[in-house]
Amino acid sequence: MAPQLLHYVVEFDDGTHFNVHIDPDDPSNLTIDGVDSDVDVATSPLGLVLTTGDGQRLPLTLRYEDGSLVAETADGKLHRARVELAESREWRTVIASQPPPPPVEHSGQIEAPIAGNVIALCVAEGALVTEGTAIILLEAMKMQNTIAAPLSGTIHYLVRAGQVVRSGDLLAAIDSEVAGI
Amino acid sequence: MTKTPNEKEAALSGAVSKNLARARLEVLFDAGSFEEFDAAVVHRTEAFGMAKKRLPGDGVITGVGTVASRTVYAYSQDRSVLGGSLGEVHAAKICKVMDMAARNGSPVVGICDSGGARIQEGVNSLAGYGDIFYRNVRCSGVIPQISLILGPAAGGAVYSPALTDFVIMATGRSYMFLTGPKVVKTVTFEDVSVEALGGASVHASKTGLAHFTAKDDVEAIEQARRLLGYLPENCQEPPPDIRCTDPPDRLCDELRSIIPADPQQPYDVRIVINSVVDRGTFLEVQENFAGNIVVGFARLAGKSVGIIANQPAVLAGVLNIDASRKAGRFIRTCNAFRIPLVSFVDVPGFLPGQDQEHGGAIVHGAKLLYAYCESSVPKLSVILKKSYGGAYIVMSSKHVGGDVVMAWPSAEIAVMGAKGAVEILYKREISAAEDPKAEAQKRNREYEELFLSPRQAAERGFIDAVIDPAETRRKLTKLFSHVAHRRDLTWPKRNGNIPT
Repeated sequence: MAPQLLHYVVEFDDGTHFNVHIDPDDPSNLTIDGVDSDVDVATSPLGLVLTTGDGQRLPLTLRYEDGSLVAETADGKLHRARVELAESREWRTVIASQPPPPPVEHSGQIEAPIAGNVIALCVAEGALVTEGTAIILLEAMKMQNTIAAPLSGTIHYLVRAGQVVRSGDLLAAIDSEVAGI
Repeated sequence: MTKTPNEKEAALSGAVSKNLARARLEVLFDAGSFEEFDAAVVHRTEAFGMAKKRLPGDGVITGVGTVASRTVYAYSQDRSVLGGSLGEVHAAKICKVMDMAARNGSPVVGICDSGGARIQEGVNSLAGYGDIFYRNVRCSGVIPQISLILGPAAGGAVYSPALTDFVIMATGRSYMFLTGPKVVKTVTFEDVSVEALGGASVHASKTGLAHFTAKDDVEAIEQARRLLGYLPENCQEPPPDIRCTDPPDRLCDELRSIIPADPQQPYDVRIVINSVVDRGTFLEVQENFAGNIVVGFARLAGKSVGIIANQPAVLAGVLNIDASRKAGRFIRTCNAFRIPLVSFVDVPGFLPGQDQEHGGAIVHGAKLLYAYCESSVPKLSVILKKSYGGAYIVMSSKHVGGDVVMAWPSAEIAVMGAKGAVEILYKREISAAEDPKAEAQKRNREYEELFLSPRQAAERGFIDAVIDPAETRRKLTKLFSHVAHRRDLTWPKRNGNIPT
């Protein structure tokens, strides 16, 4: 009897993907097809080699582990390809067909997370900041706490350097509309 | 949305429609492994024209399948059938899979997407909720229970997820609140959106109810699958081991320089965690809640462990109400499911202040202390830098049942920091001195020499060894196996009385 092959889809971070048909009882028995135009997977004496769209050649390992296929490329830093059964991929499209949720808005009000002393304002008043930029250094519990912008926009400081603040005091407001972001 | 007669027949004959509730289960389980129960069940309500709305399955899909080849029971509420509302038989279907999961000793995953109680069924619907809550509690600590909130959960529907071990929410889709915006408006005249009242970000950052947040349903389901990999089937089984490809004796050279020379400069303790545990295995829990303490699951030489780490990069790593609640609950979750604890300590103490005291800092801090004392899983810890006062005792010290306590040479173990201590100890000497400033500095230095090192604690045997930071992984994995069979004797009791 011909072995029952499981059909997996291997997908990389950039969306490129290919199919793997593998025999669960003998994981070394696998075939590869449906390779995306952007990638090329070929067997070489060293095993599988993945060639990406920009011509990079990466060794690719496929392992069958705990009931699922694991694909790994070693390109300096290890990254794992997303592997899923073709069947579950179809179910995913059902879920993905839901209408997208409304975007979540942030008020732009930044409160002191702890009582402390503002030791520095990190950017100029009215400057354009991007999400994650350090905007205030607050000293508390004898340590420096960096407060980062929770969203992108123009910043309006509500405190000055040297000011003592209580937990929950407003430190700054970020207006994302002015910046047109 | 009502089903056409053809669809009704299809459901009865076993053919399935590709709807959302089912798709979520199919993605949760290993492909092709899901077996449905009770697809033909219908409600028996006549009132309010309900006799005409008798749909097979009654708005919830229940069954069993495998996740990474292990048995998991699940239910998924179907909002396309009577709004996913919970009536008598809808609840009975959920109770049935919970009972089967408990009897078989397998985890249960609930996917919640429901309009709430089925008003037309009156008290039968309330009874249904009660039956579920009772089972949630009976199963608590017996089998892992995970709730995925992929739609609204309001009123009574919020308590079942809150009673489970883990809650996963999807941004923009999931809401949990006791009373919705309309009622809030009538009672308090507040205008508030569902998102601002009980959206994923509210529960992820403010209440701590959500353990994980995902950008969409698929990511939420993937998180549940990944999470299950760290948990045992039930409290009598050990958590699953995986083959470890990261050498257990790997040196972590980068940790030798992780502590900044300037004591005011923070560092990210997650670098320490990721460096010590098996590469890529750290799964952070409650990432956006009480960031001053980091908790999560990881693997150490392939074995599942629970990590608790003070985070100097957020609020100086102080212990406050939220941090105590977060870590206390996490420790109890790990202890319930035989997952050993690894603590990384760098804590300046408990946060002072009126807000904290009035908010119950004592009670919540006691909860964390209780959890560490009560837990009987192997407990290992490494003191990285500060370990002051009550926080030293709490954080997995020998005194509260820690098995192995190690310290880096940078460790500072004392009742308090130098400045505060010297002001108390040498108040008279300093004010009587010719040059009070110089005297204070001199006393400061003396204190620092004595306490701002692991020396005194090592001399007393309160820490087992001072280790080279680079050896942290090697030492932990080695000692781990020697305390893996920890046994604790306890007196007979009904339940301990944890402060709440």
